[in-house]
Amino acid sequence: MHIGTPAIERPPVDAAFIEELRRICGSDAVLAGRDETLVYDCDAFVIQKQYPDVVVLPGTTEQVSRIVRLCSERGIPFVGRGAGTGLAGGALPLQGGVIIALTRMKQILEVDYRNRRIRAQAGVVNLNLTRAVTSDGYHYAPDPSSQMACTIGGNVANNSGGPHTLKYGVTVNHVLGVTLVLPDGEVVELGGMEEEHPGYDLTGIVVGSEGTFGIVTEVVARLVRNPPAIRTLLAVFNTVEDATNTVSGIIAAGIVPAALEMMDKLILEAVEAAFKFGFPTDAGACLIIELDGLEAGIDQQVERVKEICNRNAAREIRTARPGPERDALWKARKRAFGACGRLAPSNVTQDGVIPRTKLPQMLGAIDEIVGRHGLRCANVFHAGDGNLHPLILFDEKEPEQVRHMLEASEEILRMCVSLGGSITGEHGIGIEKSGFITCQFSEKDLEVMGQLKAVFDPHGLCNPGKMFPTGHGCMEVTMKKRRSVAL
Amino acid sequence: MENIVGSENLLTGAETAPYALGGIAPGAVAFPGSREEVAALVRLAGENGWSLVPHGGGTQWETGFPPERFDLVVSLRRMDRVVDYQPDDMTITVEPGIPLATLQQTLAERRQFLPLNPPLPERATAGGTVAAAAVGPWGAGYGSPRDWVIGCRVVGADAQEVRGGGLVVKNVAGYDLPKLYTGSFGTLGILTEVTFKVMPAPADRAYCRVFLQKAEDAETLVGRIRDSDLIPASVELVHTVLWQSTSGPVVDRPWTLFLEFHHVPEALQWQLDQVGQMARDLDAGFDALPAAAGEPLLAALRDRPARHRLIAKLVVVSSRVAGTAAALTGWCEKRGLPPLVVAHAVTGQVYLCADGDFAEADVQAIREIAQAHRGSCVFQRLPEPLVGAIDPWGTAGPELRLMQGIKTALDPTGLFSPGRFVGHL
Repeated sequence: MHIGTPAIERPPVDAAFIEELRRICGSDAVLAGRDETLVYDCDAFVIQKQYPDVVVLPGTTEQVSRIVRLCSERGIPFVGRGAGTGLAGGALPLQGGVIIALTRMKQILEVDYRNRRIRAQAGVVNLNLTRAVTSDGYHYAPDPSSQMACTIGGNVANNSGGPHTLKYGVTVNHVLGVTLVLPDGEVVELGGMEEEHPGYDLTGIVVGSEGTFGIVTEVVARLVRNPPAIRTLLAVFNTVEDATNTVSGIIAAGIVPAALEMMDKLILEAVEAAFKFGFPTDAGACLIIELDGLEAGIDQQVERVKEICNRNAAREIRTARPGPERDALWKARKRAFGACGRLAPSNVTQDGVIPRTKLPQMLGAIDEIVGRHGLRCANVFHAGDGNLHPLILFDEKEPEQVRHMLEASEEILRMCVSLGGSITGEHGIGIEKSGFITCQFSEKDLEVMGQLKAVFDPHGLCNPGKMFPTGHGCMEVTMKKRRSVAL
Repeated sequence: MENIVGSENLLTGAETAPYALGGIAPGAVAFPGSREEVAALVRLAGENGWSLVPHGGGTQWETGFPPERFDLVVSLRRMDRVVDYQPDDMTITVEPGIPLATLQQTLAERRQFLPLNPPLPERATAGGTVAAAAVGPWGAGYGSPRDWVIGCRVVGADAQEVRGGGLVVKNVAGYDLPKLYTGSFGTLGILTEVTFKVMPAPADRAYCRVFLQKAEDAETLVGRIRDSDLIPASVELVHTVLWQSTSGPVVDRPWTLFLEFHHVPEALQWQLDQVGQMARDLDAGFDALPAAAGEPLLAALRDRPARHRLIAKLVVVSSRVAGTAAALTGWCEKRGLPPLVVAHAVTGQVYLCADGDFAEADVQAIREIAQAHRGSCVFQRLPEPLVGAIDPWGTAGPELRLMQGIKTALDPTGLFSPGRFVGHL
């Protein structure tokens, strides 16, 4: 069964159509022509580009509904877009058509501390959710590295993660309801402020559907109380193996840190050159280990973690004090990918996941695979979740290197699946990995997914060509010229 | 069917009476022993146009409409094995029929637990808990089944197996099928395997109770707890009449807030002290209980609704729990019934339990209380004359058309639990 949307002939976007969009949203909310739509031809997956015919920036759910209804009536494809920080090409307008950019819908609509809820429009930047409540002692927990730019609507589409999801969970664990404009223009409220609603968990399947079920315009999310005590450690190791054994040791000891992140030697060099945090550049690997919770008892836990580090030959354990020191450490970690531009002309990031105990085996395998292809690889990742981000370094001007990079990436993803893992932990399938989803799911699994897609979007107009094989997919390639990216 | 499961694993005729719903017994009850046998049963049912209703421990058997066609019950009771337990990955894969208590014992051997505690864990199965999205008191600290299921296998209407999610704790490949199956009440297929992520077992547990004069005080207290650094595992609001009929001291205040904490001893004590202070501020009674006393009390409370002929579950936001509970006890008083009300005060499920004869007007009155508090109301159990006469789920909004679409796409001939779910799905 072919479940990808075939690239069929679409009716043209003509001047009358654009005029109607202007009538719905106002002239200043409609961008047409190459000059105006230039920055919408890709997201943070820059290898593949496609101009939309028109970009529209609605301000209300009602406007989104009218735009979508118009597209539906004319048979014109449309793609929802947040900040465009997605790493898998999810916001690429593969068949042209309309990009519905939610960036003007950036109002926080309701903050309810008593029930620990926040209701916001889809275009609100992730970090702004936290900023709105931080002085009252709360935050929004999922913290993708792009959180300064990415939007909550984009997070919903991708079921985004981040370093602190180890303890706190990913987007779907924090989103209780969405306002969804269906691909025929009807507006439905799924879920809501309450914890449960009779019926299928539609919110649960809309989260992570990569914008293929409709356009999410509003989100109800949980607020999380800031932990009263935070301890942030930087453990330094001579070898990657010692660091990964420490990760396994911490998990096996029954400790769930708030975050457990690894950076290897290449990453440390790049990050240190960029941010001058004071990382030891001669180390084999570092772990950022963050514990949080009540003041009572937290230092006992810190001592246990330190013991495990020492048992695995940590050569040094530093403590980053809450405030500027901790902030600087996390800034360096979250911008690690941007810093890697200095290592090679180009790099490619993968997002595979493996069971945590397979980390040493998998890192060895990545080394072997990448080395066999004559390339180098840097590793910075969410070790506690088993969510890898191997960064393969290459030069996109060398076709042989590109070929090796693609082959190595595919081998790495296949290895993740063979170890019982997944080809993506938080970046999504998008266009980048649409050709790979078949190595993780059976034809029957994909058939069910295709049936779900058809329920929401029977005419295949909503973000067509994503997630499922279409023959258009290729690996993500990060060019040196690309703007600072998220991870 | 005998060829598939063996005659010893098949009930027919009068033997199926215990599985009756709405006064009608199923044609047969089969006890498959493997995923392959489930698939074979589904294939056979499909060929013969029989409906299939999956059955776990039966703790939520009465929830929903009686099936429109009631041919074959597929009991997963024999499929009760641990398929794969990886303590160091903190994941476990089980067959659906494993009782939660057995699952917890397996995990306890490695000092881990699955932080879900719906009622009757000796009977309630892993598969049933997922299919019913069943929650318990621990929802306050740990969430619901949707937060803990990372993968599943389901036999669909064409007798083929669908795999959703996987074995890893973070996974965004494809649509999140486990979310769809969690809480689908056996209407989309038969769960044949579930993978959970699990947690380290808490170092220690502590319990305390606050005895309150007014429901408003309960709201004030829960509000203060939620706006503090306390991290309770359970926050149960109970009408005191439930204590008097369960066990423990006779208290003269109508409301009790029962709290459970999981932590290291030092942090437990700090939290108990905080609650004690909050109680004094409200001029409320307070007692702390050691784990050996608190645990069985909480379990008794958790299992209590199952004893009654009518169980209504109202779901509201946390701040409306006390008001909803008070309104329900008001209704009980008017009807001359004991105020059997217990609520998960953080996650918002308020249970009303009652026995006696009820009319549609009673159902309507309870529904109106839910509506007045902007919540939903599901009748998990109804006395016989009302079964089938009223909609136990309440009306759904325009999103029902999506649910109907999903049901039709995945189960086009209505094989699975036909008509049982919201909107007769």
